[in-house]
Amino acid sequence: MVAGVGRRASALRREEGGLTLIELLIAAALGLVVVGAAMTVFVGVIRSEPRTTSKVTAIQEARVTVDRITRELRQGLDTPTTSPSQLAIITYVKAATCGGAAASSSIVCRVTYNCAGGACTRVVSQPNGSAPGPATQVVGGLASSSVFSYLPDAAEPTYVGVSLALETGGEPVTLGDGVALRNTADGGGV
Amino acid sequence: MTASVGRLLMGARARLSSEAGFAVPTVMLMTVAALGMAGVMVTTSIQGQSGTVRDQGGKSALAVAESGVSQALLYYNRGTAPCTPSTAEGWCGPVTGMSVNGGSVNYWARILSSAEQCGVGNEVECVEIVSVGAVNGVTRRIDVMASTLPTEDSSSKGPFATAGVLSYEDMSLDSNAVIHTGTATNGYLRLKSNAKQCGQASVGIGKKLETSANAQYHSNSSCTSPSSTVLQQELTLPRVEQSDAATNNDNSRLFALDQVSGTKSDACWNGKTAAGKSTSACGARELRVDNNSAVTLGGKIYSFCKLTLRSNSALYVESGANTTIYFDSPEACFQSSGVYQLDLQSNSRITSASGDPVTIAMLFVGSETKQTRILLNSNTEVDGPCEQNFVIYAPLSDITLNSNSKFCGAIAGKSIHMDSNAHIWSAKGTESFNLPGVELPETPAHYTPYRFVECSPAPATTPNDGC
Repeated sequence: MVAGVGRRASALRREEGGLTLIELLIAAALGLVVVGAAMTVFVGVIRSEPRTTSKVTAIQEARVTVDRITRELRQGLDTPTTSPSQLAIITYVKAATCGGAAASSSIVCRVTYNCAGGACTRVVSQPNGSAPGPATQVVGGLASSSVFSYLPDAAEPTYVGVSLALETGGEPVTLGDGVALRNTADGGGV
Repeated sequence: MTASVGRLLMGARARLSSEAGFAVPTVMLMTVAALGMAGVMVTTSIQGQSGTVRDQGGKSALAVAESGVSQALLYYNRGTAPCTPSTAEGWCGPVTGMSVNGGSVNYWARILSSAEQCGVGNEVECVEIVSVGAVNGVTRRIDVMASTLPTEDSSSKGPFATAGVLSYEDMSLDSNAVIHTGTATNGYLRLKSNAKQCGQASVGIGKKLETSANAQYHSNSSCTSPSSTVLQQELTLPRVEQSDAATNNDNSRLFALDQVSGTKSDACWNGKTAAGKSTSACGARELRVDNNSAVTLGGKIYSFCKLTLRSNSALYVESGANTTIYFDSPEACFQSSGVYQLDLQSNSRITSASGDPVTIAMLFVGSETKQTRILLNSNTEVDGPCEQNFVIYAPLSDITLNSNSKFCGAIAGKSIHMDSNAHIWSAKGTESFNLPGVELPETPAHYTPYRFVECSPAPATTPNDGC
């Protein structure tokens, strides 16, 4: 039995006739198809790469902004301005002075987010709104300026939702989050 | 050596001249290429998902850190510290908290020693807790300060120290009924049909405030601050200790010194009218006043089984008096279950004789086995100009206020039901009312968070660095 298999294998190794050209042609055809498909995908990826990169960058930028807003809301004491496109929070900011350089400990400042014209800016000022610092753009490419939502209502919110709809060329990509305010009178603490 | 190189070259030449076996390497190459492309796609997808995973990890870690704060506060609210201070600043810890959601939590805690550190006020005590939560390698650190309530000072330890309306079981308000002071119940607080609770409310552990049909809850007594935040806490109502009041009292003053105005036959006490005739209208230690008549009390301690006021009658208390009326147990009064021990109907009222402030406490001993009830109905009033210290304290009795009845003061019952435009206002001074003969146990201060700050993830020299 074993001897028979060995002989057959030996015969196959010596075999050079018959099917090898057809095999080669089929293999070549298959190879061309695969390589063609791969090239098509590759070219597509290469062409869309800059757009994808900018989209990923925009999403990442928006993600950081949402993270920052929710953090400031979470430790917010009050929300003196509440509208879909503008939010002012009296909150703890890690800075030596409101609008000044960053520091390791927190002080109470007013942070105002203003969303208009496809971008949101952030301004830090004194808690009463005086001495505002420079407006810094924190996110751009927004499809809508309606960013903030409030529960139970905008007058005395205990929960603020944040929703950034990013313009991506097709359907906008929306990043949403929301937090309960911990430090307000009705927030109930932790 | 030369021979082996020659064999190698011959083998290579043979392999190159052979036309067999190209299909297998080609297919293998295709497979490798396909796997490589799939790998690139999977890697790209994983990179895209990683941000979402990090966000979820951050939220979970934050929740775990907050659970550490809650665990530390639980210790303080039980009257003990979670650990022994070990630093000059008073910090103790780290304490490894109970694991939540597969994460780990460690916290540090300290009692703030000065009002300056506390930043809230001199009258409160404060604690600071720093908690670090970690979930799947994502860490969040938070710093929370919590303070006791200003009302928990040593001068306000009576049952009404924090709320003017108390019920051991459920409390329900219906049909335009309004409470203008804080409430506390061990059960549910149910507001229906335009009813209003105006003042901070607390419900039992695991219970809640239920509102329906335009009912409103406001955090202030003037009903101008809509709120949805209710506290959850256990409420204890100590039993009434009447000592020897059932035998040593001022009952003998009735109709002798405590005169009746109006028709004497319309007032009866202890089975006799004020005119001296025997009657079945009132039994032992029962006072009943009817038909526009009034009785004025001037004693300090009375012991009643029942008080009934009907048809525009009144019970007055002499100016400046400090009167306590004990209502004995239904067993001692030979009353059946469901008895109305205080029954105010049809425009009757209890008030100060002159309008000057008086203090009246009606304390109901009640029974664990027999139901006792209190009813204020049909335009009845227990108030005056709402500067009186009226107290109804009946921890074993069911209280009903109905049909435009008004009560000014503090009220506590087993259950409280208000209906049809009934109103309760708080009165000055009731928060400092103390139950006679009852020493309330010292309750540990209750800490409520007032400052929440997120810190940089890793602590440095002291726990709250970077917060």
